[in-house]
Amino acid sequence: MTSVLLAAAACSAGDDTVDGTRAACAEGGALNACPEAARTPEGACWRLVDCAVIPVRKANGFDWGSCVSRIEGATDDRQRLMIDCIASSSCDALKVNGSPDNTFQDLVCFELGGK
Amino acid sequence: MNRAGLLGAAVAALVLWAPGGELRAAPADDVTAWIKLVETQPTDMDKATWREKRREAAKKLGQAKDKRAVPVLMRVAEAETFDIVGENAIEALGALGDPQAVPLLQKIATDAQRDQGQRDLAKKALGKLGAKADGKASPPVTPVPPPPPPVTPTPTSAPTDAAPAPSDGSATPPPPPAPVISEGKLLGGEPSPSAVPGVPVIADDVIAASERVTFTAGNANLAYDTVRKRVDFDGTIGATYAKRVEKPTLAYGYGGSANVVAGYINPEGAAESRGGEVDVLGTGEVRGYSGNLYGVGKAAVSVHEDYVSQITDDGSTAAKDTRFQGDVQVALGGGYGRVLDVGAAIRVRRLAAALQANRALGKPIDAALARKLQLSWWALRGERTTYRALLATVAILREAGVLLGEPDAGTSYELLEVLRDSQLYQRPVGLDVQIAVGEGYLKRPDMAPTAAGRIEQALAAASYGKELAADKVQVTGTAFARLRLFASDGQPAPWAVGALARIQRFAHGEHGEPLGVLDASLSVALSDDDVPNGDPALGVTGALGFTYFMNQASGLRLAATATVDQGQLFLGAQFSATYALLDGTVAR
Repeated sequence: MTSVLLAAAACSAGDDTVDGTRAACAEGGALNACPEAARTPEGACWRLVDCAVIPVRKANGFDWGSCVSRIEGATDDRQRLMIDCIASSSCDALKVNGSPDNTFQDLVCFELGGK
Repeated sequence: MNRAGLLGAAVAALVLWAPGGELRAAPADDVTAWIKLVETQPTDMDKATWREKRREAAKKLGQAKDKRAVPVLMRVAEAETFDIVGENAIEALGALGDPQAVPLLQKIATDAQRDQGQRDLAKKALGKLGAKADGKASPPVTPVPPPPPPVTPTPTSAPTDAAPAPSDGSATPPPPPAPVISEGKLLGGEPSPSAVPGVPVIADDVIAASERVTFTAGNANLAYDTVRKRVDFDGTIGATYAKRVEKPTLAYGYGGSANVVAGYINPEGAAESRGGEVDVLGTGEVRGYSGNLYGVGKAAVSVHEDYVSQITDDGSTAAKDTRFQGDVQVALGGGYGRVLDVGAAIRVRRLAAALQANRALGKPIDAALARKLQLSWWALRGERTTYRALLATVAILREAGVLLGEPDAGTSYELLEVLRDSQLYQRPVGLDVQIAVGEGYLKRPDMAPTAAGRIEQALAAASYGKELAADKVQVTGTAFARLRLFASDGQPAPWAVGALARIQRFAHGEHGEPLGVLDASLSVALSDDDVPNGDPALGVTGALGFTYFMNQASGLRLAATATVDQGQLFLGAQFSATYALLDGTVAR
């Protein structure tokens, strides 16, 4: 089996933070449900962007790209924990003080996967 | 000519030459001969001729006023749903005036799968017997008596007669006995004591109903390293349940989901991390319809609890946190239309098409029979295999006269492929547009920017689904909008709107095997967090994928996605392919 996954980010907004577009479930609680997140590093990190937990892009900050790198750099068991935790949580459960401007150390699901 | 042949010829002659008027006092021997003719096809008589003579004999039995004819006429009336001999038997039972036929006639009169003509005749016969079709004040149910033991080696079939006789008039072997669903033999003699399962009770006015239980995820991993003497554990389990009922003036649905994630990460050294989370959600919706317009009430309740503890390499506690969140929300609004999952209806159409292609379709599958099939599949959805679903499907189709004779190997295979086709789940059709205003109380940790306390919001949602190209193409779409209302001073009022459109093209092989699917989707979303220095964000995502099953061991998936989110471009591509042949082996 051959599997190739490419993800490329092309900068177009200078060094400013790009928050990204929010999904229906980003606000308002349980009445606004999100579809099931893909249980991959990319899918989990898109859920964080959709939920206004992290920005799409932030120069020298924790953004979508560094989120994917963070998960992919973890051991298999930690990856599973982080991805499952993100996929199972509501947006408000994923948010932390200061979202979307925070570091991965603040995020509960990353804490669960070990720092 | 043997004895049976002589008897058959004599009976045929008798029937042919019998006077056309009423036979109020037919000789006993005549009645015996007619009973015999109705029961069995003489070996020296071709099927087409016997069919004619049998009809005449059934008519004569009704005119003969001999109660010995009642059991055989009851069997014919029950088994023959197509041939006019069934109608003759029904009329004859009314003429004979024996009350033991009342339960059977009531059953026929109310059987929606019977032709209207037969039902009307049964009602008329019941009238002659002083009974009503609704079964009230009817005599106790008397089972249809078993047929008498055969006196000749002639076949004792009760043919459905739905298959046309050969045009050349040649004799054909009699068809196999009509299946008795509760105790007959189906598909090459396999005993099927419970071929047709007990089906869910669905009211007659239900347009559509569904119940879905899904384990969304589930795994658990436990490892113990004997060298470093450390344990790792991680596990997750999640399940969802949803039920929905659609009636002309009322629709309701409710469901819930629960997820548990837990882990214990214990790397070398003193550091360790442990924790878990539990998330439970319950939702409900009720709609009252007036035409296509409806009023809607919705509610949602959720609780979330998580716990994390981290210890660093020096043994100190880096973090220890427990958080609880809870939601109680209601919403009221209105809308237009509805969307139904028609996957089971498509499966019925596919079944009919497979039978038609194999020249085994005796008559169209009507609405009542379609529902019966769908409910039997519902009842058997928990089965490990499709075996019982196939047995039930064949039994129901044969009982209704839709399936002509036992399906051969090719037809059985195609029926099985239709029943197994996983592409026939969640096939929405219709249009639904809804707006609502929600009021809720959110219990959240005291932290920005999470909204807590009372919250009001305006919500809008739309969904659309359509089947095209004989159910081979599906077009679906969804849209949403939300806006926080009455935010207090200093609180943001975020909003977002979005839409998703998707098209899928399903491909099947020559015998109904799922071959693959081509899917393309496009989503657009616009949102504003309503925070200082924040601007509305626009995101567009397009996806294109193709899945192809080459054979039982091979397949490929090619997919590509492109996302532009506030000017940031993300491209993704995935290609996976497996090619193999199943092993070829020989052993003795």
